[in-house]
Amino acid sequence: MLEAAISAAQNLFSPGPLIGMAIVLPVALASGLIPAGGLPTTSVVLSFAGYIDPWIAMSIVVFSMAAGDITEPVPAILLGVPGARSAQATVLDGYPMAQRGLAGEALGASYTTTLVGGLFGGAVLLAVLPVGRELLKLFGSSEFFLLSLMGILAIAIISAGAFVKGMLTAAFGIAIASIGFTNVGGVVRADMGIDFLWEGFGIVPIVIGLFAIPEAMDLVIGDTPVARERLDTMMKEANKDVLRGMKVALSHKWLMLRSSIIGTFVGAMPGVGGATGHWIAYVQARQTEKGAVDTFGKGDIRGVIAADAANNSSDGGVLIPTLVFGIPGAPGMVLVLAILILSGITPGPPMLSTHLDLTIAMVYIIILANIIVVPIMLLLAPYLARVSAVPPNILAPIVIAVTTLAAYQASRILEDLLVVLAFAVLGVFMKRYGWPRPPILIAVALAPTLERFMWITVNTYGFGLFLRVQSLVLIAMMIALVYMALRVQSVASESAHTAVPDRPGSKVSEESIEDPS
Amino acid sequence: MRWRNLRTYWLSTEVLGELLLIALAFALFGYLFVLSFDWPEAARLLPRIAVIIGVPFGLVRLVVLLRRVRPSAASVMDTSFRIEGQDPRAIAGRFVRIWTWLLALYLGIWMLGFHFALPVGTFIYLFRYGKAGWVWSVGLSVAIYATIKLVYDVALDAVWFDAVIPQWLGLV
Repeated sequence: MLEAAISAAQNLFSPGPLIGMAIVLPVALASGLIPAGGLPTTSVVLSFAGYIDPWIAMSIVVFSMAAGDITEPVPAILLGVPGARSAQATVLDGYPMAQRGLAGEALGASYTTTLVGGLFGGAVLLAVLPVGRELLKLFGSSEFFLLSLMGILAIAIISAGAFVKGMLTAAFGIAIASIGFTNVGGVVRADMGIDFLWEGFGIVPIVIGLFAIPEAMDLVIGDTPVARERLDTMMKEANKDVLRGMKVALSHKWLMLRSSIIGTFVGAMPGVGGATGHWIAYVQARQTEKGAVDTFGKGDIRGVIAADAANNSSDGGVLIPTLVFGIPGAPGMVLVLAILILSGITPGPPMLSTHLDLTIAMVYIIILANIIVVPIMLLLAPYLARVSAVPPNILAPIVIAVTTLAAYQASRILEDLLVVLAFAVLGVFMKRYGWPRPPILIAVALAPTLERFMWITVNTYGFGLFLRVQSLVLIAMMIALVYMALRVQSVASESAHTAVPDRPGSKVSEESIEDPS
Repeated sequence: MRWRNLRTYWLSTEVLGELLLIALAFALFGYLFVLSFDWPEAARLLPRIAVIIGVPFGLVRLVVLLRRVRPSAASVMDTSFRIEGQDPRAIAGRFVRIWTWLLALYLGIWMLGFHFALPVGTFIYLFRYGKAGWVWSVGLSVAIYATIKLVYDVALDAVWFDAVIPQWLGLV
């Protein structure tokens, strides 16, 4: 372990990864400020992951993911616009604070909790790695089968509070993943006579079609640019009382710690992700903090602290199932897995043996991102918030152009552009009718693992699966976690509906809770 | 009266759009289920799991959808193009415009290739609809071209497909 830790530091602090992180820094900062901003960055990296050193590829992706999470609260507080998936709960109290002239204090609290949460999540990931190695020795094919199944079902069950639609889309995702060649059975399934479908659908065109393009289109169709005067006013107030906000955050150390634990723990649930964690942390704070039931949603700094600590600590959490089991901790982790595979690295158990140094390096990257980005945000947040005010008609064509380029380069198959278009139509429809999209992505990513281990399990254990202690523990754990997530999700939705502040441009809704980017 | 209300509701975009989604899912489930009899046992498990989970939940959704009389609130992508405080015709215009541009862009890529279609398509949108002005429109389009050239061509030595028109002209 120590050798791997030293090797991780040596490899990470070499020119390639450092230059990669320096190049991606401005993009990463901007990615948290715009809706679904993380997707184009990761997609572009994915398009050339096969060409570059895996250390550089992973440095860029994990760094941009962690840095993006840190910048997310800025537009949420200053403009009432949640830049990306995990800042929606921050809006509920951050924006009312900004409206009362307390933007700087809210930002100060946000930076502090973000830093603490990020470091906590990274530390937990580091601590879990040796445990994970031992745990893996107890895991057989049946446990991997159950983890894959639960990964798909968990995201479906808690998606947007729409249980039936979530399950239906998860099944639809498994059906989509069934198309093409399968190693299990060695046949080409349901290719509809189209040669191109022999390989099945690639993950990148699905992500870009289902998420990036519908989000960009939504920006154009909604066309709600942030008023320039509002931005100027907020910029003046954003640098006031930041230090006081930091002190207030530190005085709520137990709330920060509780929220960080929740963020990491929920993030570590296969398929669930950090967006749910920050809502759960927000709700627990609302229910446990003194007088919070009356003040949350009206500009209570504790709401900002709870949401942001959980949001950033989840970065470490979502990497736990992703790296240890090869099961994505969040929908966005599907792309991280894809990058690892393209780089010639098998996610899952080998990450804790042959590539332990790379795994540890990811912890370093999360910590590094927090140490670098938080001071930058302290100095530049009000100016960077202007990115959120870029008119949709300028942002959208650029996002579409860049992601289209990435979609083609990821596979070099022209027909993939047709796949992008088809999934874009599907994505627009699903978004319009409130069908959660992440279950499709998770199902497509996990289906091969699910299928392989299911076949082995059926042949090896049969119903004996339910006699294995490990399997039973796993089933009980997942049922309990999903039950808890469902309970809290309903309270979170209630909070979102009852405490939505008057703000421009965006709305906090059940649908936005499921945004996975 | 109730029947007339229901009929109007069933024929609304609120229902028809979601029916289309359910129909698409059912079509795929049905296709996989029928074909699965021809596959070896190992290969038919996954698609059948999709069918076993999908069909009951699809039916539940169908019943809930058809029994609900009151339509849900309008949202950004409502086909009746309603957003509070905005002109529905303007929203419809933006919807048509972005889709037309996307299709034209993809057609352009197929006909002319990425190097030409992507920067030019971006320029046209930015200048014509984004009202970005000459400087920004040209600057951002050049940035996209530079990305294609420097990142993909020079740094990664990327492979591209042969576009249709350059093939006709014998340029490739």
